[in-house]
Amino acid sequence: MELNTIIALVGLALVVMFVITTYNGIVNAKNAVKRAWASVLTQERQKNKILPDLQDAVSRYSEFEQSVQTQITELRSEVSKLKDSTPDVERLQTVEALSGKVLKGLQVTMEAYPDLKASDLFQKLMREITEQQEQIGAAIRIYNHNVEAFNNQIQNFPNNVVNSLLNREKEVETFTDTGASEGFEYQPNI
Amino acid sequence: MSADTLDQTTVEQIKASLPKVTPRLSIEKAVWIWTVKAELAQTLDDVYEVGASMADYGRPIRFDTKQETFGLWSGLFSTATFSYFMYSGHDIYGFLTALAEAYTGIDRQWFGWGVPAVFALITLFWWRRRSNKEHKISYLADTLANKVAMFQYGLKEVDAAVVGRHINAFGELRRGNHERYIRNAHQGRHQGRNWSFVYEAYRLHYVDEEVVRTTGPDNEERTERRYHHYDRSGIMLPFPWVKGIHLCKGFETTLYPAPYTPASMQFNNHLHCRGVDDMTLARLLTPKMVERLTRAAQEIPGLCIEVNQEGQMLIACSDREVVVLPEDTRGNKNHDPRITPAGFNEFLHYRFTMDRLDALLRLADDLAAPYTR
Repeated sequence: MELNTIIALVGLALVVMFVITTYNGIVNAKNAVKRAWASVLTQERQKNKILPDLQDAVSRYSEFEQSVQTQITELRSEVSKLKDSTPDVERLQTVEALSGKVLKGLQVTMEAYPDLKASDLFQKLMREITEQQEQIGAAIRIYNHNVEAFNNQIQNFPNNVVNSLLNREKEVETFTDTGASEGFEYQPNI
Repeated sequence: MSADTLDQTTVEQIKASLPKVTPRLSIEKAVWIWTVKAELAQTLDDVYEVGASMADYGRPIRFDTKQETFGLWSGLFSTATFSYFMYSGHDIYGFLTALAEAYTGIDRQWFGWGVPAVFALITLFWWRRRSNKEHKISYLADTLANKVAMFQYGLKEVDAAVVGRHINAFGELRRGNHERYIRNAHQGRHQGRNWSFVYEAYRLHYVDEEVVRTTGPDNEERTERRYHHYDRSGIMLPFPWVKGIHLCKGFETTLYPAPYTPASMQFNNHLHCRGVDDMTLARLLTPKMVERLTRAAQEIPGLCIEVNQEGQMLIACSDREVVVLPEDTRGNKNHDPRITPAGFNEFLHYRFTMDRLDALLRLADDLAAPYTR
């Protein structure tokens, strides 16, 4: 076999190996995004298990705090609407905004009723919901990291060539706290 | 010699036999006495007493190394000069080797290599002698500073067997296919934000044997054994909440059959997980814990976390030693006893931090957070 043929074959083998590695890399990154999303959902649903108990605990006290009850019901309904199959960042934003409101409302109710504040059960539930909210925060950050890695994977050259020809994956949206970003006058031009 | 490995009577006897250091005492003798006292120190006050004695000595704690320095430079100069004459084919070289050959009867070509080699050996001798003298001061300063740090952390040297007897119960301690042992161990108690625990800080030494087969110029196959020596360190503590997990990268153990991959790509780039079953790991590795461990793996080089079947936890890193002060703590010339013994004495009264040990203890505390709150 001639030297030129060998060089061409080696070159071709390297290109094929690169394409396979890149293709699989994009598939793995996409799967990691899906897993991270599933983890966010798991944590949200875990929160949904605590909410009925919390609702029961405050129902006696918050007859004048109907808005909190309504918000909890709304939150439970929104969490149950989160889809397993595809990341639904918009709904997640709604859920997280509602969660913030519910926690704030519960704090206000707690301050208004000293015997509720002193209740061990309520304190335990509040600790659980706060802990769960922290777990959700961490799960969302992990999701965002994975999304960033996936987006880099499909946008960087020459991976974008392999993606446009074979994988045809689209950029995934990261989760942003719209409530928090609305508070800033500065908006980055990105 | 360490006060923790000798019985109290022996320590007292040795201490009583040591003369008091006065400015009239030679520096060699004074350094020797301070070193023995530093090694035998059992309390912070013992260390401070040595520091005060060094400050009262009245002059920098420095050996006279003029002789060694002169010998070193003379040796270097002679080696260089003779080599220059030899390679440039100077007449002096011809004359000297002819003269030496005439007197000794040894072939002149031997002088060409032999004389620079002898000069080089002389240089090496003076260099070693000077280094040894310097090392005695560094050793004394390091011993005192490390002792202060140890006492401030409430650490006590214990028999290495305290950790050594667990060597087969941890995959992390089964490193090295030739030899492995615990070099030293210190015991302490840590009060974290979440819980209080007793731990043993240890240093593991292990040796990997590599068999290399080479073919010589005579086409004969040779087998050569090469030994690679490594050190790792870490802490061991009781962790009753989880059993049988191993989080590490680059070192797999066969003790735990079930692999587990959390959702975080960043975490998976730093740590690989195995356990007795994947549910144990799934329960431990909540999103918060995954984030915490990712941060820890970025901060601590060669991080490995293992909880064995008996509920003992090991948090290890690739540092040689965790019970040690960072280099930058000691490098300041204002605290160098060779320059200012009073400054060094003041330095001994500082609050020291052992960064790596702190990082491992913080991590041990955070790992227990879900179970202790």
